This record gives sequence, structure tokens and C-alpha cells, in this order.
Amino acid sequence: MTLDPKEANKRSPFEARLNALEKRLHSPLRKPVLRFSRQDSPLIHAGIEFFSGVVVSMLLGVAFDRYQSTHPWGLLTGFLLGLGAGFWNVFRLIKR
Amino acid sequence: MAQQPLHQFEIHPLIPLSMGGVDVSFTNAALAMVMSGTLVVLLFFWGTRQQKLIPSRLQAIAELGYKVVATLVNENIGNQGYAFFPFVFSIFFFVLGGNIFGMFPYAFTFTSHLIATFGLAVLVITVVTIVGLVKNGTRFLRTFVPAGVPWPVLLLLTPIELISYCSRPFSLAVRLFANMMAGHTMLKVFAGFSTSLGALYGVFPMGLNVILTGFELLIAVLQAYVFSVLTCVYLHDAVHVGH
Repeated sequence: MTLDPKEANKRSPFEARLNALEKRLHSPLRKPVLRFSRQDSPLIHAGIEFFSGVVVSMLLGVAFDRYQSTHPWGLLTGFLLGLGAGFWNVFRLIKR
Repeated sequence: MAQQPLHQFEIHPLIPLSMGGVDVSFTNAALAMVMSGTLVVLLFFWGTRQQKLIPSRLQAIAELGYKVVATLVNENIGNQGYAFFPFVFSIFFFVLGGNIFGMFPYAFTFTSHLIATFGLAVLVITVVTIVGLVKNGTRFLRTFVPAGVPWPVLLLLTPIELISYCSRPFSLAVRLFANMMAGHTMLKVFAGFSTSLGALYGVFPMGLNVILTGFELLIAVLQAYVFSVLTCVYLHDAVHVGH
């Protein structure tokens, strides 16, 4: 659309309508349709990231305990490593 | 029975099947998967049947869907990402189809089951790991050994990185499952308020439910989007090791 809008308006009502629609499409007031910026904040995921790190690590620890009969040490190690992994997950999420 | 908010998540076999002692019945969840998958395929079949310059509504939906996933893949993985476009596209539309299909009354939401979302998440992580190993070989293992870290810290950091990697499918699955399950339970709880408050006061929870249904639709699309964004992020990590 390199045509001058006023020139185009003179040409045909169709071009005028097209110009008006084009203007509306690019106007700054129009919000982008598929942008979830507010809902897609990384902080929403932080809780789940932390939780999953701890849970997965503890489950691994418990499984280790069961097969090696080292109860409670696998659980404890798993829990501590899981805390680390959870914090690491959150840290990476914020950094992204 | 109608007032139990969790009753909607019950799975019951429609066609009982057994394979080598394992129950592989065709359940209502499987039916929902087949139906939502079929709906997605039909949408794209009808949407791309007549390729007009000025698109019809279905064609516009199909094109929009293509464009959303294409930008997603390009922005998150880069130009190499188009190789994974079919994968991300299928994941996105399978999850989106399941979420939206579940919004219809009497329909079953298969994404509100942890095992379904966990299956999807494990598929994603398996693909990511295979892609990482094929593209980078043993260099992929460097993901667990960050560069420029002194070795005493590395002793602690490597197990943490490993666990963090293993927690990915879990967090991916729980995020989708929790959102869908919580939303549908909440809708049912407010519907229960409506029925127990009677015709006069029951209108208020119903009005709230109308708003919440709209909100649920947003969540349905958003969670499918988030699921595929994270798929792309993980694929990016697998393709570009050491960034």
C-alpha cells in the first residue's frame, strides 16, 4: 500500500474501506490476539518447577532405598538434592 | 451423584479388552482422545480443502493455527526448528483439541488425567533426548556439566542438573493436568452451588459459572500453548548444547 490514502479514497469506496481496515489493523490501540504476556509470566510456573524437582528427586531416593534397603538415607539425600534441583529450576526459569 | 465434583473424571471401560493379562480396555478417555483427534483432523481437512485467497472461516482457523505454531517454533528453536514443526504442531493440536473438547457439556477431558499428560510429557522428553544425542553425540552430556564451573561445585551441580532434567516431564505433565483438573472441578462445584441454592439464589453461582467457563476456555488454549512452548524450549536446549 504505497498509495496515498486521499488519492485512493477518490478512486473507489472499496479502496477507502481497505485503507480504513488497514489503518485499524495497525493501530497501536489494537491488542495482539495471541499474546499471553500477562498470563504467561514465568512466575506462574515457578511453583510447579520447584515442586517437581523435589518430588522427582524424593521418589528417586525412595526407590533407591527400597532396592538397597538404606532407608532413610536415600530419602534424605533425595530431598536435599531435590531442594537444590527445585531452586535450580526456578533460577533457570527466571533467567530465561 | 450429580453433586460430586470429581465424578466427571471417572474412567469406565466402554469396550473391555485384555492383552496378556493387562487391561487395555477402550475407555471413555480413549474415546475422548479419538474424538478430539478426529475433530482436529476434520478441521484441517475442511480448512485446507479449498484454498482461497480470501479464506473462509475454517481456512482462517487452519492458517492461524499453522502460523501460531510456525512462529513459536521459529522464535524458540531458530531456523533449525522447522524440522520439529510437525511434532510441535501435533502436540499443540492434540492438547488443544483435548482441552477444548472437554469444555463441551457431558464431554470427557482426557487432559485432566495425570497419566495422559504424563504420557505426552514423556514422549516429549524422549524425543528431546534422542534429538540431543543424535545432533550432538556425547557432547549432549555437557548439558549436565555447565562450562566454567570449578570441579568441587561440579560434584554437587551435576546430580542437581540430572535431577532437574528428570523433573522436566513431571513438571510438564503436572502443569497441564493441574490446570485442567482444577478448572473443571471448580466449574462443577459452582454448578453444585446452583442446584443446592434453588432457582432464586442459584442464579448467582450460575452467573459466576458463565464467567468461569470463559476463563476456562482461555486456560484451555493457554495451557496447550504453554505445553508446546516448553516443548520448543526443551528442543532448543537439545539442539544448542552449552548455551
